[in-house]
Amino acid sequence: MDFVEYISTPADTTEAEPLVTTLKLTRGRLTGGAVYFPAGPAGTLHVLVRIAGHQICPFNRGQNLRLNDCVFPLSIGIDILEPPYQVDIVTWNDSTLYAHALTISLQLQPRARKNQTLKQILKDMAAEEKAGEKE
Amino acid sequence: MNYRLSTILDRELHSSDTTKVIDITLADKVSRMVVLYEPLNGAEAEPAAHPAKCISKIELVDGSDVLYSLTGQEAQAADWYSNLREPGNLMCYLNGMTAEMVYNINFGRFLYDPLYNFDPKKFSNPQLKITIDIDGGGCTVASGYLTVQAHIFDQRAVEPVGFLMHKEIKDYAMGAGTHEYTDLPTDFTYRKLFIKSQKYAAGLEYSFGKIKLTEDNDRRIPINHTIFEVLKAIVSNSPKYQEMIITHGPGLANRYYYNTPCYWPIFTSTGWTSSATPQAVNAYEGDGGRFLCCNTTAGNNLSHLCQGYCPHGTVEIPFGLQDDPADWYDVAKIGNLKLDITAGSTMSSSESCQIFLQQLRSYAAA
Repeated sequence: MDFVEYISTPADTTEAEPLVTTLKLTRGRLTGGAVYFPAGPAGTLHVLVRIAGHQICPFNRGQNLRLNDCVFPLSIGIDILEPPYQVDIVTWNDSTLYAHALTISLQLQPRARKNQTLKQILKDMAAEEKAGEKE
Repeated sequence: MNYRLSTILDRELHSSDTTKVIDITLADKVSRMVVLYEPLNGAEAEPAAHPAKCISKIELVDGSDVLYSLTGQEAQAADWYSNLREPGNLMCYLNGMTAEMVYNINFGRFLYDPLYNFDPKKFSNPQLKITIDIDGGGCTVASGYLTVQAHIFDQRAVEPVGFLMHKEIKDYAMGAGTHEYTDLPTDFTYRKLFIKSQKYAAGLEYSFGKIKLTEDNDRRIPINHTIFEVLKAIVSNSPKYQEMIITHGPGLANRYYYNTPCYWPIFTSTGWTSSATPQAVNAYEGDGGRFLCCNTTAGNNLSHLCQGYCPHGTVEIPFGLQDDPADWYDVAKIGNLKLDITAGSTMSSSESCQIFLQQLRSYAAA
């Protein structure tokens, strides 16, 4: 499933006091996504993603994405199996004149059961198969 | 020898913001890691912030698995509440001198706890990531020295069953009297829950209204108290945090400096000079972690003994007898665990609150 957020960041929003947009998710595994940078910001619009204070995108802390007129694909691979099921999208804008916007999407593979182990999955599959045979 | 202090990173100079990534290649089990950072103060001026803020993040990760993730201030607060002993900090704001900030990463209930410690062999590629904000604190700081050490089990064979995991769960902007609901993880047993907020010139009693912890939509409510009750009945079980602070003498013009205890800090101040020059010194405020000081003779350095509660604006809620793991808060069987924090009526979106946990992570579940 995809989660999408359109974020407009006002001019003069600094890295020290950035705009933090909380995106509510659900239990599952973040597998990827994309950041859609429109034409215009010319590198003045920055974005990174955190879970609590831990930066997950880009994964190397201290770096961020600041691009123009492109789609940047995200490859994540992080389990969110315990609440709070949310990420913080942190943006700031070096432009002193214009607000700039971007759209970010995150792909999440839902995980319905709390303690879903391989053993439990196999057990469930066997039960389903047995139920199918009865039908 | 049974134990040894091992050097992971020798004293290293940094002069720009960076994240230092260190592969943990230790074969021995680790009881405590010690991150030491020394911001070098530049010209005399009002400090930017508390020097502990020069370390903006300490993380221990194994791939995408986060084993420890706290800010420098959170790390110091968690360490204080775990050991009830001040780290070897030197709170010095004088030009040309370094402050010395110690961040202990505790994996056990006490140093060299044989039952709970960090076993690097249980993980594929553990990495320590330390983020430095060069001018995050201190006086006009432009560089600093980073050292990392580890207290390890050398010739003593121990078989740990787990380690104490520390993680920030949430960091949010507050509002005047608003409720913030946070679903908490129910994966590992809780030893301690921490709530942190700092507003300069305001004590913790103004930051929060009520703190409520509820299981399965109020089926059970383990905690439901005003912050005043928490401060008086829980936090005051801890001794006062105390520290020595060395500052410039700003003269009759008031100047702000930063201190660690944030709830009712009281200062005893005097001159710190080679000559016995009589002078009047005054230090005031301090609530929220910032105090105002002045003296009669500008240029005469000052020393302040600061004593108070709630280091870095952190309130601790301990669960059970702290040396008995069987007595800690087992959350595994709870369907939903929610923390409801009501902000104080004078708070705004300019202030933030951080929630972080100390949990028992067993190796069996890793």
